Amino acid sequence: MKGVWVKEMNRTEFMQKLSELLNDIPESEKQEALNFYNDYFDEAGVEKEPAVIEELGSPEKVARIIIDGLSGKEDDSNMEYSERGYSDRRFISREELSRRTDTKYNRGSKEERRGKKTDGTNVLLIVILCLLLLPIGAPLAIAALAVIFAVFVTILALAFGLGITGVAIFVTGIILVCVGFVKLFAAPLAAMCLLGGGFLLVGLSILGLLLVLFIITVVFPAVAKGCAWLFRKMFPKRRTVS
Amino acid sequence: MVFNTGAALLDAIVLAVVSKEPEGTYGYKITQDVREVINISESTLYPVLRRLQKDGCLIVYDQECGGRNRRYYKVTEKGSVQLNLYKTEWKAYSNKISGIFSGR
Repeated sequence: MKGVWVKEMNRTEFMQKLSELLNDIPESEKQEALNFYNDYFDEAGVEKEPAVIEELGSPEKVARIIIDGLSGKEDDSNMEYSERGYSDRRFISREELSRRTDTKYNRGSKEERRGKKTDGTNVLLIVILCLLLLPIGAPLAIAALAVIFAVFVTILALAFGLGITGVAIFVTGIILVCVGFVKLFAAPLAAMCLLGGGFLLVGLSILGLLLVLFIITVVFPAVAKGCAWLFRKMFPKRRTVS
Repeated sequence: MVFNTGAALLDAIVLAVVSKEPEGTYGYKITQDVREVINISESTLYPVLRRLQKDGCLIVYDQECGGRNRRYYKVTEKGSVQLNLYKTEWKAYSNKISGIFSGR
């Protein structure tokens, strides 16, 4: 809420707030500082006013820096004039509260905090979640494994059945062709029928065997890959935990 | 830049920036000039200028400019001495650092 308000602040409001915040310092010092920032806004020009306010930060921050400067506290003990901008260790927490949009001042400390959070609490939370989900997760995992197993068995059985059928039809076709040749002169018409039927069956069986080959070399690995992917997606931690 | 600018170095930079203008220069310009060299917050400059002024390194005077008073900063005699000291120190310091970096 405060951050939004600071952003919408104009020069007059900024100076007014700064003036209020400097009430505790000697009047001459206060006037000096206010003059400086009034001049500063004048020199920057009206069009740069929002940029100047944005860069200066909140009046609270400017006032704090002025007051610290007076008491000689701006030495190396508490602040650094770093390339990332001014940073005062006592001030970082207040800055984060009041100016969310500002990335310059406390980027370092924010990253640090985020890193710590994932290291500590998040890992603990994940472990607790895994433990809590184990009674539900374990049966689900077993069920998923069973389903996958069933799918594989079905595909293999299909391939096996098709293969056997194909071989049987092939053998039948060959026999029919042989019989057709033998009876070609005794009963030409029937023999021709047998020959035609035999070749047809042989052709069909070859198609069927090709289908079996296709199932084994293409469909089976694809399904296996799909299952592995699904498994990884669904239970990324389960495997290591349980 | 990964290196921090300490208070003394910032004083030296501000003194150097102000001393570039024999006639003196004003707060906004000083801030912009300093920020061309190091990326520091605009709000940091005022206390530095104020302290240098109190220490007698800078002197201020008001001059009419476009219908209003503009406050100018100028380096005093003491300020020049201080700046020269900083320059000497910096030369020795940076030479040593450069030396160790280049393996001399």
